Order: sequence, then C-alpha cells, then structure tokens
Amino acid sequence: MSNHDVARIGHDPDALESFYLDHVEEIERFVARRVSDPYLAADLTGDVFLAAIDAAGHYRSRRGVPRAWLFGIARNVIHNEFRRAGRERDAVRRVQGRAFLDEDDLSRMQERIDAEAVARELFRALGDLPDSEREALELHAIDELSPREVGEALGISPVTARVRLHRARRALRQTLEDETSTPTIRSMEA
Amino acid sequence: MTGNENFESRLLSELRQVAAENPAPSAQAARPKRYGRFAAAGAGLAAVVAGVAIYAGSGDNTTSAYAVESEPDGMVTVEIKSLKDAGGLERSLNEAGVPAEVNYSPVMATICAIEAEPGDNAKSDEKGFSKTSPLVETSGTTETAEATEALKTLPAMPAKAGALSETRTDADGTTFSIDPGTIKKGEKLYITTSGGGPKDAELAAAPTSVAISVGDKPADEDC
Repeated sequence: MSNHDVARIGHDPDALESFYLDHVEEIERFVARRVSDPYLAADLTGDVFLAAIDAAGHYRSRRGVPRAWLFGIARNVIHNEFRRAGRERDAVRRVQGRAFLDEDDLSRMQERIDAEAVARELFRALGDLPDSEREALELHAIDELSPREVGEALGISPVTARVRLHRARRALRQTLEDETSTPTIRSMEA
Repeated sequence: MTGNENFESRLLSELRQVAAENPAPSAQAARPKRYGRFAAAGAGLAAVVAGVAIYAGSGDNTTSAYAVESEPDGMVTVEIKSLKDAGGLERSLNEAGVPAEVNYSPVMATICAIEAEPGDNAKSDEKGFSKTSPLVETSGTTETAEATEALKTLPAMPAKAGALSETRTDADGTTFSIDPGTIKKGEKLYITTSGGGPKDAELAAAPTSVAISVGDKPADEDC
C-alpha cells in the first residue's frame, strides 16, 4: 500500500481492507507480546485498527512509513489500556473485538500469547529503563522495527532513536549482569 | 462476511463498516485546520511585504493573495483571497503536483472551461464540470477591495467528478480542492478571470471573478 492510500483507510473500506490484511498479523503479535488475556488481546487488536481509521486523516507520509505509523498507534492504544486498567476496565468499546472470537480463534490467540511469553518476560526486565529508552528498545528488539521506523513511530529523529537504543542496550546489559541471561536477551544486544 | 470465518475476517468486516460510515474528507472539513495555521502566521504576515511567499514549517506555500496546501488525503486545497500574484499561485500549484496555468489577465472577456473526462474514481451520478457558472457582473473598478468583493460573491460551482471539489466562497476568498492524481497527462488546472468584456477598459485593474477548470488548454474559438 502506498503512502497515499493510507489517508483513504479512514473512509474507504477497500483501502482499509488492504491495509488491514497487510498488518493485522503483526499487530496481533504486537498485542500478544504485551497482554496475556486473549479476550483483551482481541479487543485491543480491534482498538488499534479503529484508532488507525480515526487517525488516517492526520497521516503524513513525511513523518514515517505506514508500518511505523501503525506501530506508533498500537503503542498508544496499549499504553492507554494499561493506564486506565483498573479504573475504566468496563469502558464501553465501539467495537468489541472479543465478540468476534470463537473457540478456534481463542485457542489460536492463546497460542500466540504463549509464544510471546519470553517477550513479555523481557518487558518486565525492561521495566527499570527510563520510558524513552524502554519504548525505543521495545519497538526495535521486540517488535523488530528498524531504528529509522522506531524514530518514526515515536516521533523522534533516527539519530535520537539510535542514541536511545544504544543507551537502553547498555543499561539493560548492566541490569542483566546480575541476572541469568536468556537467549532472547542476548539477541537483543546483537 | 459470516459463517466459517475467523476472528480476523469478522473483525475486518466490522471495521469495513466503520470506515464506510465515515464521510470522505472534503475541502470544507479541512478548513478549520488551515485557518488555524493562518492565524498562527498572522503576526508574521503583517510584517511581510505583500506578495512575498511565506514558507510555513509544514511546507505550505502561502502568500497574502492565495494559499496552497497539500492535504493528508492527497488532495490539494487552494484558497484564492485576492486576484494577485498569478505567477506565484501557478508555481505553488506546480510544486504541489498540480500542473496549472493561472491567468488573471483582464483582457479575457469570457472564460471557457473545457470539460474534462471524469477521473477513474468518478462517481457516475456526479455532475460533470463543464461551463463555469454565470459570473458576477460588476462595473469595473480599479479598487482592489472591489475585486475582492466580487470574489466573495462568486457562486459555487459544481464539482468536476473526482478532480475538483465544489468551490466555496466566503469572506476570506474562494476555496476549492483538487486531486492531482485525477489530472490526466496534458491536462492542466486553469484558473482564469473573467469580467464584463474587453471594451470595459477599467476591467484591466479589476477582474470581476475567477473561473476554475481542469482540461486541455481552453481554445479561444470556443469562447
């Protein structure tokens, strides 16, 4: 999908479909790396695309490729969910993603969530890093965005993104020296 | 989408519906944002000699006479506030990807808007954009304020399907949007003035209104 088409996903169902099919899998994995409840994961997947529909009119290609833009949105959706967890848990969603889950979907969703267990562990290990560095490292090492895409998703320059990644890796290495290193964590330092 | 489909396709079906219910962005919807920018640039505008282009941080080409802005949906919105600096407007449009010819020459007695073929995304029920609307008759005057006044009373024109939005005219000038993708090779956006006729000498300084069209170069013999 070209950058030009992204602006259309807000009101053109066909443009939306092509965009959705391109990205739904990686967004599901993105969500599964962060939440362990399959119902919530289904809701959040729906929320990410709804937010993209709402934000499509503000998409500016010069600020980033569509993928980085969508990951930026996904990150905000998850962030908002964690922030409101507990106080607005029952807030009414416009689209209840979980309503579309059947038995098969549920076990598939659960498998995906299980497969990302190591990543979620890693998130907890990242907890001590400053927010700006942790976010950059999450998107790069866990969600596999390039440093440039990390910059675009976070609204910072590629250079700043690289600096934050460097600092985050260094701080993480320091933290992990006291703990047992896992293969995933070693790969993050590569 | 029902039956033996999975979560992803059911969610897609729901999302498609949400998108379908959203109206396509129009020039009208984009206006408040643009005016916000003008307001922010207001202090700067006052200090700048008229006719000098002001390059906003966002890359908009703005002068006191016109504004050209590329919208996120690919449309280019044009606002004509006064009939000055035709060359600047033409350049700004070209830079925004809209091949254009702007002519505020007062000698044109009548304007021919060449009917363009509807673009690929044209809706069949939309009215083709052909002849411009009857334009405002004013007795010519050299007052710029009068010209601006005439601009304000420009009637709205029907949109050429797929390419030009409806023109809107209000106290700030005339605004329309165009989708550069629908302009075919060899076609241009023509923005021209019209008035009471070449005999009206005073017209020279005060074009009475503006005609906007997309197509091949308007041929004189058709006028």
